[in-house]
Amino acid sequence: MNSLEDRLREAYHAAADTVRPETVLPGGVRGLHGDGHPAARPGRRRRSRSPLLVPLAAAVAVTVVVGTVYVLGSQLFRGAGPQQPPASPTLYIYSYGYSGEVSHTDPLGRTVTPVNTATGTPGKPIRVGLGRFGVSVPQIAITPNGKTAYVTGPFGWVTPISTATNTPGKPIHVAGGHIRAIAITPNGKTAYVTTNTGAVTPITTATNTVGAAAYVNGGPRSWGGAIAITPDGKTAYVTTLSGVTPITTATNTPGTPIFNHGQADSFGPGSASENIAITPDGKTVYVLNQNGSVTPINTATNKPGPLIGSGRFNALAALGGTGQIAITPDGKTVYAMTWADCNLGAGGHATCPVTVTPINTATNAPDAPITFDVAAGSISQIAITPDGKTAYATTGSTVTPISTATNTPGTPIHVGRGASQIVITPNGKTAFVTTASGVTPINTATNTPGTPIHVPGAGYETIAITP
Amino acid sequence: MTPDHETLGRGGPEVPPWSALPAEEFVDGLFRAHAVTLVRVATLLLGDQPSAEDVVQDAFLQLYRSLPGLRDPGRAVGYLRVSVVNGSRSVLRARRRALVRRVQHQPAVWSAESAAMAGEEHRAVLAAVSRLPRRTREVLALRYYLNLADQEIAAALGVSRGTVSSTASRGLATLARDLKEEL
Repeated sequence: MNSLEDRLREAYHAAADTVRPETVLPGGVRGLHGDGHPAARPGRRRRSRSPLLVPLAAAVAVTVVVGTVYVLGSQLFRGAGPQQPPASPTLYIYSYGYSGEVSHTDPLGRTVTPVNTATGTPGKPIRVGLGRFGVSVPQIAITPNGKTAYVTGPFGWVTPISTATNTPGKPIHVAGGHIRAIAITPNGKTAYVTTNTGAVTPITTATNTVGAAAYVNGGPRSWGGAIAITPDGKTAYVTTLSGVTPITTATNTPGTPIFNHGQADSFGPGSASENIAITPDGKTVYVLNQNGSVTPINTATNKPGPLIGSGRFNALAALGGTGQIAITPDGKTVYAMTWADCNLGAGGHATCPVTVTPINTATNAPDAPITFDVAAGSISQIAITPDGKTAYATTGSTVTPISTATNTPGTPIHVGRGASQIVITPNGKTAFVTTASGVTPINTATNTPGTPIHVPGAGYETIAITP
Repeated sequence: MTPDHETLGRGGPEVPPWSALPAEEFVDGLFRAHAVTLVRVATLLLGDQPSAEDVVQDAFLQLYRSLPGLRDPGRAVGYLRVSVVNGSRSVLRARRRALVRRVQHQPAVWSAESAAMAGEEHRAVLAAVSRLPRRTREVLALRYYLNLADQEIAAALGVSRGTVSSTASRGLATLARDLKEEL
């Protein structure tokens, strides 16, 4: 049935997958650091820790967290234009470590590979790497008509990819440092890009030209973070170090910052609002704070309501806990996911708790949290099916389905170590999950995993799917 | 121009010279991006991860040492591939000598003694591959695992493009015969 070449490819991947990325030369290139002179021929199985590589790797792992394209996008894609959607959606997988043809500007081998979701066949990798190094927060945002995928890279570069031909366009540069997040208005006309200096830059998608940046919170320390746009497209909410700033999209002007409980420093430094989502009716913005609490904001008044779950999850916040927030399509339940980065600190821990807290939007009361123990260093995500019946959470080497009717977890689905990013097809039939060694499709009807998809590269940073 | 202005390819703003980067940073970045893939391909050539890690470690050290003389750092990954292939050959040569002295190395991941890999079919395919000549194994791994073009494989192995394609087709034919006989 399979050609010999396919059998050979599969066998190679099976053998290559026995090499688990985290076990590979954990100390980096020995002899490169310290005295500045490479060591003479070193012995076998070195296990020294390089002072530079480890924090660098940790930083990359942490920054990946912000890749909430689908969660954010599920609302933005609503009301897609009259254009015909492609026959089957395309899955875009952002990976690094592609060792094909080497580009001058990108020794990191950053590529986005399109995958036909009907057949699981990957297409030719598209180079998106720009700039040399730098910790980037790669994200992929796709216009509601599905025609363009915007891929963010380091140093303020955004690469547009035509989904019809899967070719990259001329890269777009936005001012203000490293990109944190990207969101597209429901009418698909403007993409907003936030950076770590608080600049929020509009990109006109028709021409791929940038407009003047708005600065949130008024200063270069403000750290623009996650962004969500109301379903009517009139306001973009951007998280900052101390709260949220609304931006009027018509004029691209920032409004008065909304501080959590009116206290800018109530959580001290590092209390950045982590993530943000807006109910489908556009009435409430839910902001996940770094200490695990959730702030609801009334979009009519831009006033924050009482903090939800204050102090409840503080244990998770100690070392840079961070999280995800997702809202069911009917707007009745918010799922706030928080976890601790137990890898930080001496020794580390074997496992870390990840908590999913359902919040009833009618009362803003939290339900009993659902807690998972996952391998330390895992990056978990949560995605909800379009019919709103199931939330899928990546939990270490498994994906756990959560019934939204009862808020109870089902049997974990084993997908392989390092389950991290998750997206669900628009028809809700398949969820795609990145793992350490590939991207595994899950049949949502039976909750069974399929054959993993392999794309070139050593690691997968984020995935997105066309509407 | 913004203070954080960075490099872009042809047609964009001027690309700063690679020499502006500290060598450690350059090699670290390459390591972070490519070490796992290179260890994986070396594992396919050598059979076990510890030997593969040694080869890759040496390849990065060699790159670091020769960086000052490297005219085009855009070719660094190609350079690493050549080093990994050459390093793997050295290990295999050393093993043949060690065999005479009955020194053991770790069993290959696809061998019956190793529990690392699942799937009888995969094991059978790779066992058949391991019986092929060395250069054929290299061509097949670079072509079907790394998905390299024949031109790139030729550069990594130091042979002509024609040799790559003839070696690959001969290798596939032998494999097909071998695997058929096994059934």
